[in-house]
Amino acid sequence: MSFYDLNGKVALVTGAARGIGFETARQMHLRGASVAVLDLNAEEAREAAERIGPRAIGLAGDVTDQNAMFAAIAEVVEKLGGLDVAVANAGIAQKQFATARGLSGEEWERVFEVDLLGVWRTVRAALPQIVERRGQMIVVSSAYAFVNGMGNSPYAVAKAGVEALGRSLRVELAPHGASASVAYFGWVDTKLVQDAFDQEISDRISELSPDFLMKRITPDEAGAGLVRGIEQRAPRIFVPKWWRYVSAFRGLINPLLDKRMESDAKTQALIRDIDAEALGGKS
Amino acid sequence: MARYDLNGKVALVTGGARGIGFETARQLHLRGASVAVLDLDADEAREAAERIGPRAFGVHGDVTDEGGTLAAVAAVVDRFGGLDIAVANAGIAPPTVTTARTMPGEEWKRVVDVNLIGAWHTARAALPQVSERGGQIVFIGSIYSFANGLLASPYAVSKAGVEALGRALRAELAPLGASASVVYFGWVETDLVRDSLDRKDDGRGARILGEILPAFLLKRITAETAGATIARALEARAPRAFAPPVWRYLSALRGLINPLTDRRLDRDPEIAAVVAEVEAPSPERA
Repeated sequence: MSFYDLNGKVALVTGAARGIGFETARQMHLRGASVAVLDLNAEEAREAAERIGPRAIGLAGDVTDQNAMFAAIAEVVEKLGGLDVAVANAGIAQKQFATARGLSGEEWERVFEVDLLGVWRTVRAALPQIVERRGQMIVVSSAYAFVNGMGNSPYAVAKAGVEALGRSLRVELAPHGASASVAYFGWVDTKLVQDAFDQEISDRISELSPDFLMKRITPDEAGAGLVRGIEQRAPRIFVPKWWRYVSAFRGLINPLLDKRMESDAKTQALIRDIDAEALGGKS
Repeated sequence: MARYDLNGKVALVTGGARGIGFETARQLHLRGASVAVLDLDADEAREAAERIGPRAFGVHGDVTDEGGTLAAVAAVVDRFGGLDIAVANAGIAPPTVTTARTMPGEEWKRVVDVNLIGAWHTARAALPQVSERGGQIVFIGSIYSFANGLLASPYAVSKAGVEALGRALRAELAPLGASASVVYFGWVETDLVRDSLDRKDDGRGARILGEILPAFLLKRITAETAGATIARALEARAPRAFAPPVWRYLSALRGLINPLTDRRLDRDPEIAAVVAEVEAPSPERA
């Protein structure tokens, strides 16, 4: 497949003031793209753009607000002349591991709003430009698209939905010469993962999984993987790469892992403790 | 695993006035359960309950409204003294077979609201009772939980999400002796399938599918078979059930098959023609 040259292209990355988003924007800029750094926080977006370089602009934008996303894309087009690559990266996690029972309804739906509907709103706003310029729509999913979402259900639900959206889009965009890709990250050392993981309960979750699955990668590696995938117009981008094999065997592995999860004494004790913490703390 | 006896249990079925929901409620009632038939249409819910039998009653409710599902569960508990089983069945298909790019935003979001957020609201409202009574929650997945969702993206998005929700909940409910199941259907002879495939735009949906899928994957099952599949899944507390059964194997091999079929779809000139056709402004829609 031919190489998609980022030099001279215009890219937008949502949730780009920090973490994977920042690194993706920075590395596309290094390859010659102009980049729009969108973040909820206008100050942080502007500062991130300054750190990235001369062809970067910062934009304030809330992915839970469709009109704000339309306006953000219009601003990118106005300032940078168009839009070739949109990376729907913005995402949040619930504040701590909690079962669906223990989580407040608002918190569950907030994760869903940002992580799934936010991606969709970004897609809707960006598609006219992407189609016109035979560009690329990148949706950021996660290993949670296929790993059991125990203790993290809204995130898993949203990421499974994002994957389905990206796959559908790729087929629907092909006749226009444009494409969509789904990016899957394992554990990346970002603020999102640190917040969710640096607790005693998280250590126990880690203990239940094989070490190689829990290995964290840096945002730098995640961004580099993403940019390579964009250059290849890859349908699926996995970082770390071996998640590709877990994904390929998901249909066979998941029924077994799910079964182990529901019958394993350590997992059950963990769920009881998570529930006790959440439900106890609510009163 | 010990058989879960439906006799004497209390079940709530959302979207229970017609189709798969109605058949599920009817068959659970036949096996001795008391059933609450929840539907958006109060009259239809009541009439369906009357047709089902003496231990059935109709509840009016909108699954997109969390307050509505909470009130419905409270009404069931009030009437029958508790709730053992919730079948989060209410679902809709997109009113237009088209790409995510051209589907009106409200239509796209409405499908996700009903099929996914609605299932979440139903589960959430039922969880306290179901946890306490070692009961069950059934989610209605679909072959679209893992097949490519082209021209039906909100449906595929919602069904992929529902599957993830059901799997996570099953793990989370295990310590309580309660469980969740995901039941995957192919094409079922219901108003949803007939409207979206056969009736709309002179059967364009069915024609498109005929181009994508081999005939053996297009075979339709009856709502009765679908209802029986759910009843059996409950009796076995099965983590997942498939009807027609062939989809179990396609699900097992999804991780290997999907990249290949997705790639074929990307390059298929017939699919490109179909995309051009659905994206062209049509006079009746204008």
